Amino acid sequence: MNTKTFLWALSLSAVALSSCDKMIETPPPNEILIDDAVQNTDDLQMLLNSSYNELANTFGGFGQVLAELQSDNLTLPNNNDYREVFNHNVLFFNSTTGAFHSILYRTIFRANFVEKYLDRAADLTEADRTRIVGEVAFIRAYCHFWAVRMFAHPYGKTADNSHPGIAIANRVSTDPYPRSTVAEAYSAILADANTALTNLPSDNGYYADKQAAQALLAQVYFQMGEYSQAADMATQVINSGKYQLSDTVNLFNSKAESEYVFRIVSTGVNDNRSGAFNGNYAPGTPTCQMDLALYSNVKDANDKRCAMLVEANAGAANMFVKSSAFDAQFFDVPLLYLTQMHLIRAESLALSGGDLSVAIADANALISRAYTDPSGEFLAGSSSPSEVLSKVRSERRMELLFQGDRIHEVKRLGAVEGVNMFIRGHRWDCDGMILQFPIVERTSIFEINPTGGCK
Amino acid sequence: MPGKTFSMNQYSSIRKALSLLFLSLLMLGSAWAQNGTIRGKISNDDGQALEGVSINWGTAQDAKSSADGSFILELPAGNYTLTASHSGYKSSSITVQLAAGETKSVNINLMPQADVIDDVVIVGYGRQSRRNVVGSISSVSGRELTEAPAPSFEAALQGKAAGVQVTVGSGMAGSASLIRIRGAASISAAGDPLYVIDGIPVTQDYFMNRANGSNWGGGFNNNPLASINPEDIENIEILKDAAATSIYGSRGANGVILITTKRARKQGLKFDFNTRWSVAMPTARPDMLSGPEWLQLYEEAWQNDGHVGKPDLSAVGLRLSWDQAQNINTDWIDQMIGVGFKQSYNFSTNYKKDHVAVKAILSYDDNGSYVIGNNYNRVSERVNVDWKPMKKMNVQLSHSLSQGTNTRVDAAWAGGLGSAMSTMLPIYPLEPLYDSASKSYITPVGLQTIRDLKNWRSIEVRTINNASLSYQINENLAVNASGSIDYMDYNEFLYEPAALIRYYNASYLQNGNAKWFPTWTLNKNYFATLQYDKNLGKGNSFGAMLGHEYQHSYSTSKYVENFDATGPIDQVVIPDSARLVFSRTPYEWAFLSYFGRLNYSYHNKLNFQVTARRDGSSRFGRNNRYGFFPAAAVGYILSEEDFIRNIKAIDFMKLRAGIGKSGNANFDNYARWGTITPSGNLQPYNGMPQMAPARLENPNLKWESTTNFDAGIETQLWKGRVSTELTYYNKNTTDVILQLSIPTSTGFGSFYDNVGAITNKGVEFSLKTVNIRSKNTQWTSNFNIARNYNEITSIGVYTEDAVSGGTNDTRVVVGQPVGTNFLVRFSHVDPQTGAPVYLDKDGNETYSWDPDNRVAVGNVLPKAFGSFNNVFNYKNFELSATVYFNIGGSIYESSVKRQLSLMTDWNMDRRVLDRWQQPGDNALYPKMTLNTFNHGSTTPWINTDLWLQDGSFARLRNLMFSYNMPKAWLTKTGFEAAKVTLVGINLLTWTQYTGLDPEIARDFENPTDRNMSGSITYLTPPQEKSISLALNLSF
Repeated sequence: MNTKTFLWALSLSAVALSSCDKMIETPPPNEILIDDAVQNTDDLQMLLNSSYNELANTFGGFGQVLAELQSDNLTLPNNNDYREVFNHNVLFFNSTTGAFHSILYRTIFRANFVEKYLDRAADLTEADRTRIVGEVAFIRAYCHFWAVRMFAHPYGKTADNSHPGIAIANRVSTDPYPRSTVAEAYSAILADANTALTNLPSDNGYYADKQAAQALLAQVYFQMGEYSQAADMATQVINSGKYQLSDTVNLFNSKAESEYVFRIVSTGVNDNRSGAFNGNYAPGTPTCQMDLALYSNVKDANDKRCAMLVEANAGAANMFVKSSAFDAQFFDVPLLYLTQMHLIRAESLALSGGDLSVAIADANALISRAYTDPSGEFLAGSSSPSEVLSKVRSERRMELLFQGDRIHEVKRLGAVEGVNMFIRGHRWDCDGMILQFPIVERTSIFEINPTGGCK
Repeated sequence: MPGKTFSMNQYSSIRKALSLLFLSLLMLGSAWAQNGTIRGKISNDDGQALEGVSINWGTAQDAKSSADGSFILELPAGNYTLTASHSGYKSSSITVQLAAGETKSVNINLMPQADVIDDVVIVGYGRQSRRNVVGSISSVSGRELTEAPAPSFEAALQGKAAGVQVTVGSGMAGSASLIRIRGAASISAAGDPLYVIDGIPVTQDYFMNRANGSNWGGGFNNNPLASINPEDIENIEILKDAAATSIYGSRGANGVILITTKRARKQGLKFDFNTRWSVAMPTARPDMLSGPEWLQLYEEAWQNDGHVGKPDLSAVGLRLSWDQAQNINTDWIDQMIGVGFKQSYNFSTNYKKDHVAVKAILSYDDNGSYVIGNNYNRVSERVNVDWKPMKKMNVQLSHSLSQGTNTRVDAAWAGGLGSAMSTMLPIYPLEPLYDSASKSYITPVGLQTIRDLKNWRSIEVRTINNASLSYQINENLAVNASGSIDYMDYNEFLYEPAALIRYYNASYLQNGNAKWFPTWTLNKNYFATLQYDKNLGKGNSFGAMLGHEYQHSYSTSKYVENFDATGPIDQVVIPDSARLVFSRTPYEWAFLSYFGRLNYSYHNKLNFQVTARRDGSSRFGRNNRYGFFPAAAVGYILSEEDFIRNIKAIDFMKLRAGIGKSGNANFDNYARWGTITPSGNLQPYNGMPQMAPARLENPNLKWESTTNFDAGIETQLWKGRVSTELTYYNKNTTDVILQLSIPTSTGFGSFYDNVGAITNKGVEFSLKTVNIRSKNTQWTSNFNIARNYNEITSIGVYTEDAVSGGTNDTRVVVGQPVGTNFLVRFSHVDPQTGAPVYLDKDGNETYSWDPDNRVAVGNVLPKAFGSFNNVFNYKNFELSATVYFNIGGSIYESSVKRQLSLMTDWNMDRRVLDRWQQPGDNALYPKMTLNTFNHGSTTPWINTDLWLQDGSFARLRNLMFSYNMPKAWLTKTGFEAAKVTLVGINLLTWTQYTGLDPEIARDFENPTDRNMSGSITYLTPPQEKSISLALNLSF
């Protein structure tokens, strides 16, 4: 054969192909690659802001309404997905609860993403780094705290909290997470919240700051039944001097800003992050209406908060009661605020044998705001712990009505305080009392919640 | 033994000359003194000389005929059986007694359509004699493709090859078939075979409508193969195993369909003309309730729900009153279904003289479906030129240009016939009722009005061009270079005139709404091969091929709209200023490949082959830029061994076995890249800009990898009376690409990753018999059957719902086949209450429907399928019948959960009459109700296996009767041949399935659904049955 020709042809083709790898590099047009996009502190800040953005979309009422639906504050809603939540029998195809889970964890993912790319910003100052680390930890802790309360049975249900928890999302990866125990979830939440406490500055605009971390810790400890630590954290927020109780009973109102520790920001009708509150409670015939038995229980002309409860079709068979607290077209949504801290401290002190006078003062501060004539409502200085507890709890229910607090209270009382709590005949610890995970969560390392609701 | 292994070029006559020379030299050495001479001439049945015919007279010796059909053999004295074989012709043998010094003349006449054994087979980047092929390759001739009308050429492959499952598309004109070769091995990557036309893997995107953002095509995808003219096709090779497909590397795993277009073969100037006229009707007609029947059931539901008095239609959202509805009874099916007319004309010219051969084909095909207003019209031309500018060089040019115009109507869920089967109630009048108070229509506009007013076409202009040049460097070495361009200009035009819009918006004042969705795809490839062949003597030969290839495809599209147009954008002048133009993101992909093949033939009875390919692709992640795909195979021609040769009955017997790797890379172009949604595209939060991760990079994303073992035995017995082929294969696919619905706790909803594993194993058997072979009568039978076992063996840590089969409820279930129906089981209707009773996971009866009780209850893949074909010839008459059958496989009627269950604003299938009415009834369907809670569910339209049926069927795919005019009649007319054919398609179907058509290839919106839910019907139009009259003329 003609070896020369063969070699000649072979080398020609080799040359023709030697630098061809670029021929198969076709990055997506009109899209920005991660490697190109994340270069400096401004980029990190924008990424972090996208996490806050998701936080805003999760807690502009969405999460709070789902929590409220599980509780005994509302009536049967006219919405199939909501009904499953209300009936404590959420199927794993429920797209609303699925969306809640999805957006909750997207918020966490975006925070994790910022953390992963911290080192890419050459211009990052130490102060910015510390702050961002704190904000990431705060967001992660806040969202996991919600996740574990909504998708897992409460802290205290088992003695060692070895019952199934949630996915603890702490990395940037599409690999599925295993399901933690509730103990592990709370320990991750506490670790993150403490990291936030250590790293966050005292002032961070509308973003998370040191007091936000303290307020969050107060809530977490309170839910865990760690009352003295809860009271301590609440005290630190109250004593920071940054906040004052508002004089309005509707805290979803710019007049109440003075007591906001951490909020979701709505800047206008076109940037309305409070839509899930407004959309579920404000329409003429809203999806979320107040439980009528509860209404007749709490109805009190002296209670200013009852003025926000509006009767429709009064006396008729189709009578309903709606809240007017969320009627504004857009508003900032307080997630952590001073009223909560007073309530937590008061109840915590009463439960942990702390300084009862402080507890009574906390309660009376709120009472004084809540009633047209508070004189008959005040707790006497000589009140017993149980009298304090009873009053604080009834005030708590009114203060935090429709904000998604009640279900967590019921479960805390059931799991930590040993009270035999029921909602619509379902005990606090029955299977359906927690939301079902979306079906995509089910993997060989993650077992979802039992199906079938509360029997 | 040159010429016997494989040559690169059909017209490589140098080789033939060389082989003659070589052979003569061989002869010289061995038996110079006692030689005689055989002078022969080979022609076809028309008396045309045939060039390049192999003449074989012993174990290791052959020659080829020259351009005038002649050959000369110098042979030692003795008895010879000369066998002449040529692609497309039946082999013919003649016995010659040759004495020393004698010269004998022989004439050998070859009849077309040879039996398999001695064909030349196109393989990847070359050709081989079928005898020596070591892979599993099925061949289908162009004639077989065009003898009966089909919506598109790929549909005509049905039943032609064992293991090639062709599910013919719906009755919509130009609809796409679903082809699966040896089962399903892909889930989220396209599971279709690779189509290669004259060397270029063509654009085969079924979801082009989606790519440019148009959703109107929904209900009916564009079929990218419909614009290819079946009359252009000389033959199709279907490559099935690794030995055959590994040379296509990362794209061969789901099989390769090699299409070779026609070239001039006859000397001189010849013409062929054929025409066909057809009428078409649906194979099944939807049987819906009449107005009074629907009202009766509504009233029943109303009463079952505890209501009294006159039923209120507003409960299902109707604005029509009960009294108004009493007087209306419209049969919407009648409005949608008619008789389709089809006509086609093909004119082809063959010219061959000296160094030039030209084939030119001009075709017109007008394919009207039974769905009124729907039509696929194709005009195409082809010019293929062969030119031999110098002795060692061959140039081949192939060019085609076609325009396929699909006159669309809404179908399936999008409207039209689909609406006639669903949302268009028989109590809606043809002309909608107008309510002057609200100034709006209270019933929907008539389907016939939408159809008549909407002007909706997709026009695909496609040109596929190839230039290839081969040069014989020396007697052993040849180089071949080939460049191709496949350009597709796809346009969807939609015009809704004001008259139509006003039905929805009475105050609409402007002219019509015109939309245009163009997509342009430029697909180029280039490959070069270097081929070395060496005859080592005594039937030993060696061949080596090295090659490289590059392919690049670029698509760009846009969307143009005008809200005040007097006609479609392509038919009226709309100034640029009045056009709203939305640009779409272009997309591109590329492959860069190196490949090679080694062949060794030992004593002409053992053939070894090793192939390898290295593929790089733009789609592969940064850690896996290149994949490597080797294969090795051996073929053992047992009939060359004495112990077989002595068995007279056996003409030919070959054992072959091969193992190798191939891949599938037909998945999302950009899934590997991690991207960011920039701040400009996101609303600020807290007044501050944000940017967000949009997609995570998958640096490991790569091809699906299939290891394919194949072993088979091919035999031909009793002088071609019986031919059989039996093949076993075992394909294990790993790294199966899943478009995962990943746990949302990861922060994402969806991600492409290589996580699955799938096994396909099966047996294919084909049998061809010549039952009668006499002077005037011939009867041949062809039977083939394939049994495939499919199982998903792993999906990593994920569970059934990791890959969504959409609302069709097919899921990925480990231990079950791809496309498993994963449903809650329906037990029975409670005879006392009429409520449906379901089964929970453990088989206990329950009244409540919970998706956690879903189990694997069926799957979309048939257990076995095949065909049985018989051809009877008597003198000039031919009668043939083909039955295609499908055994097993489930059909899920996804739409009947609304047509047979809950009372809604849908019309119902008449099968619903078997519903529970009163205590004691043992009914098939639950009681009528308007409330989903009465069916034990919080959500309507629940999926259960009540809607699942066995999909087995057999159908008389075609019945054909033809008559060849006797030559005596034709002599005076100037025609060389004339044939009249009458064909019936789908005239009979045998099935237990109670729905419309058991053969379903539903149009979907993404590859996952196409793989997982292909046979799940949702208002899918049934196939058509047709009767055609065709005339073929040669002159």
